[in-house]
Amino acid sequence: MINPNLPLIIMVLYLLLLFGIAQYAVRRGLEGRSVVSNPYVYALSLCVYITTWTFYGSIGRAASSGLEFLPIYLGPVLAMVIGWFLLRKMIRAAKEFRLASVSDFISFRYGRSYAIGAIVAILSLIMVTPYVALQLIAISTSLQVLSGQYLLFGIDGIRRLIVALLLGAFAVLFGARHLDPMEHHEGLIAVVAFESLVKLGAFLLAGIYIVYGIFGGYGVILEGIAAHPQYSDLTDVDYVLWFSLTMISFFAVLFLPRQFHVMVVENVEEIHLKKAMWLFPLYMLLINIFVPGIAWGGILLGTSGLKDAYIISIPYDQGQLLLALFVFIGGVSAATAMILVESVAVGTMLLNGLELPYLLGRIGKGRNLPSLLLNLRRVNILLVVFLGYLYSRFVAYGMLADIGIVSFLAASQLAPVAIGGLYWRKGSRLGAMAGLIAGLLLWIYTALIPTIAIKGWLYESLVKNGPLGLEYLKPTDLFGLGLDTWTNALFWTLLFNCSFFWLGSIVSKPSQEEAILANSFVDIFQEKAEQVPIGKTIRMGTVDELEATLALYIGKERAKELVNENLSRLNTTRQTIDAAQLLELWNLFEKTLTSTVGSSAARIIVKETIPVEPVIEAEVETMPVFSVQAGKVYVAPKKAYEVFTDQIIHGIEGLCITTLDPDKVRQKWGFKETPIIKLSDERGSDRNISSRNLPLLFMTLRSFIETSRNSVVLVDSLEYLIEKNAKVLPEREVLDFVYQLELLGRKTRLILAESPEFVHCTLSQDMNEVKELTFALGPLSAYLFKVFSDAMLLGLSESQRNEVVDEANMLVASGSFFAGVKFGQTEVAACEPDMREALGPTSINFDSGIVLNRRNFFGAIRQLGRIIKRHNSGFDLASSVGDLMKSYGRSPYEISLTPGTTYVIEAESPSNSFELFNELITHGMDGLCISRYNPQTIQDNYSVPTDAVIWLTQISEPGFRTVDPTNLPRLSGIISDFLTKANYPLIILEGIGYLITQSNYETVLRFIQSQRDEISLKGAMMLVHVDPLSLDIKELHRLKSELEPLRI
Amino acid sequence: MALSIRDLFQQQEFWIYLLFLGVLLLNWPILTITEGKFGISGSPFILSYVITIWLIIIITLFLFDRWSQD
Repeated sequence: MINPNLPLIIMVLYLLLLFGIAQYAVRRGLEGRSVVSNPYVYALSLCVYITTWTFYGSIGRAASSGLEFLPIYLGPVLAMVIGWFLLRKMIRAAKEFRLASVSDFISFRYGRSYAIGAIVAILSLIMVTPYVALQLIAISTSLQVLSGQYLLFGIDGIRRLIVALLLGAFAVLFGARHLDPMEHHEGLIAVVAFESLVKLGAFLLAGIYIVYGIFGGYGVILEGIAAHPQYSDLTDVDYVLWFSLTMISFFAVLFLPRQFHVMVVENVEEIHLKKAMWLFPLYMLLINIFVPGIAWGGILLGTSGLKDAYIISIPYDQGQLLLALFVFIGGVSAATAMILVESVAVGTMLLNGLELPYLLGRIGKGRNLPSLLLNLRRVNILLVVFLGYLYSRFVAYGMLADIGIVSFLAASQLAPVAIGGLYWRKGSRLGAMAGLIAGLLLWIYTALIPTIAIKGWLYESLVKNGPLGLEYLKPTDLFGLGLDTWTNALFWTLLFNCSFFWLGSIVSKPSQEEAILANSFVDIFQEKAEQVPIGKTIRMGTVDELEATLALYIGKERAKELVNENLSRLNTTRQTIDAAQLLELWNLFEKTLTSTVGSSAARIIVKETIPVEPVIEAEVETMPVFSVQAGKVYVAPKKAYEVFTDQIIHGIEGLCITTLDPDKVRQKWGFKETPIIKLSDERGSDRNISSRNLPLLFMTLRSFIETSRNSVVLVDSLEYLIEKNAKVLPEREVLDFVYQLELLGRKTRLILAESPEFVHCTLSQDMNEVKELTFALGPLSAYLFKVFSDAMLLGLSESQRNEVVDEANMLVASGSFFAGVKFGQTEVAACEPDMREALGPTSINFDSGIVLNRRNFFGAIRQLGRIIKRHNSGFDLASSVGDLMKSYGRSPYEISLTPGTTYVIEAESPSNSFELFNELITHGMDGLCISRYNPQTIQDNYSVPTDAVIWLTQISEPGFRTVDPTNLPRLSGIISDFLTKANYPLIILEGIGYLITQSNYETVLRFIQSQRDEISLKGAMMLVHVDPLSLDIKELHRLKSELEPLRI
Repeated sequence: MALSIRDLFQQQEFWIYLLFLGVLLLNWPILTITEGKFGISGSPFILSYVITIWLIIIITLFLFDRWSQD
């Protein structure tokens, strides 16, 4: 016999050891020498799957039902087979969006739904409560084996309470140390990994002792069992139950809160998963290898007491007290690891998914939110442990294994929406909600109630006879299929869960936000296109606003630290941050909030920060008077408000940005719900945005447009914004704003109320579609030239720069630099001499009223490029402005091509020519492709739209534009027509060899010569692709002599 | 040209096939082959069979870890 208090004392000492390990791991983490960032530690942390359910319960199950304990481990082994694809996808998504729990993961995927987050959190709490209870029961049972029916302080159940309190305190200490959103719980994971080693060691030692020490080998036990006919059914397998348990455990290992936490949230590097994929199954194999030996050995030995406790009672009965104590510590390890991780995971889930979204609208902003959040998380962790304790005290259970399966079944209910969300774009919020609710309700009915029902309560009235005596509604045998309890529960829950998920998803249309999130989950491995070009400067100011908002939730110091970290990562500072970097910072801000407060609450906070919500004003049945197409930008000098009102009363969600008094606008135009933002420096209203705060204005617009399904935006006016910011902000900031606004215009209907004098094209009174705002509005083209010329001068030495600027200024003064350019305000191109002096010698002096169209602009840039080249032979125009070209949506190739030129490209394959053509037309040029190839082939291979292709063929194919290759006059007509209509035309001609075959060389050459002249007159560009092998040397030479060679 | 095992490891379809194969090999009706049979020292054949499949999966995943490139 051992002292009855000894096991409890050893357990407390063991917990102190764990505390030391955790402290050590935290300290190492802070020193930058993490013990957790290691594939072996990661693999061991996954073994939190092995709880007392395995340690004690599997043996109980093996002793009673034989090999049926095995499928619980086969499911996870099979799940690891597709781990590199499925688990890595989950890890990638969670890292990308900083999702801290399985409820965040699912609710974020389905449009950051509060309802879904709350359902998953509630389901998780219900599922882990019996499981936590199971751990407490297991520890107290093993204590009982070692200490007998000894009552500490004479109070029944106090040992279990002490255990619960100790574990709760431990979980709070290491699971909720601080609200660091980037936090990996170094201490917690180190402890879990260590405990995995302890429980494996204890199990193997006990197994070796029982199998080889007592029986002399596995064979003896097996022969002993075989010799007893009453145990022959121990090797029998119920195949249906076997399959069901495999499936249940397959899903459970992925979606049990603790498994998701260690596998996904705590993963430091994706690559660690590779090792874990084989180490975890190996661990499970090792820990199970002695289960039949211990269980059947216990039977042969006639061990008394619970079968679950054989692993501890056999060594104890044999007088191996030290071994029994070690096994007890192994069991404690299995239990504590589970309770620690599960309580932290579910505590976070309750906070993020359930409490915060509810509380955020109800607590004052003056509260110390970081402290409140941390305390709530601690209370939640204690709540999980305490509920487990209450459950263990007041709900009776049979075998430990049954409790585990109930929890596993609950975790399986998350699988359809979670896996569906990763691979099925159409999976929608409504579908997910319907599936989860159906699964949850059926799980309660078919699995939970039957296991907690006791005689006299629910058992007879529901479980045994069915509700109201309706046998076919018996929870354990629904519709009389004759399935076992677990297969029955699995079948019906997943059938309804999947069906409702599928049905709900196909009948509902996701919002734009939901669709974007769905795509980002499904395509998580695809490289993301850069949404906003980089390399621009924009006014500082909103970084501080962002930091202040973040500080409300994670504390001032941490917010400042995080903002500084991210600024440094973006290679910028508060003073030099540009628009793209600011956008990136906002995205990080959202992600940081998501990891701190969960996706639903983060959504609420962000919505509060940018207070514009799409609202439908009215939906009348008449047709709109004005035809405004989505994705286009219009200027309406006189009727902007009329057009806007016409749209919003026809069901389109509107946002009005105005310089006028919002009340008067509402009064005059009859808006009620449609949000109006006033461009004003006045404070006191969250609907005022300073005209100088372009980033916030942009964010507001973007937020509105991206959350609306069908929107129209009125801006009154860009002229006001540009004027207000002239000489206040660098030109580039204004340019960036307008360019980004134009890009946003592709997702909405953008109506600009501008005066006709501000727009450089002929306008009607109603509506005018405009493209390329940079060249169409006010001084923007001059701003653009300044930005480009500054970039070109940047790489020159001071003396070279002075020489270049002097030469350019002379040309500007003589009027030959900006040939054919009109001027806005003044008749003089160059500045006055004294002004030039004031500007300094290193800037090109030109009037800010200068108006450049695209051709003039690139002409001037090339002119400047030639001047620079004379002074610096190493200057390369394309590389000096390449990044700028990209950042304003231009192809870098465009700078190398001169308008009015016909180029010849010599290559056997036309691939490069088509790719260049596509590159240029996707960056703003209007394209016409004349080719021998089928338009569909060109679209498939080079993404050139079929309607831009003229197919040279003698057959007429519906759906395609075709021209007979012998009918060159018709081809000329088409080209001429295109050149007249196109704004900035580019033509590619491919198939010269075919044209020659169908007519003759001279005719084709004459055709090309005439086109070349027309191209030159219209200032367009043409690319003629020639396969040198299709012509003889003389023919090729003659053709090349007519055209400019172009090497790609 | 035939693909090497390393090439196979890079394909998602291979792992999905392996998953289905695993489910198939570890369930009815394949398991019925082992029914009522006993191996060395009276060990149930089903236990040896399941452990063998389990080991094959571990070895495959181990090779994937060793051979696959990031």
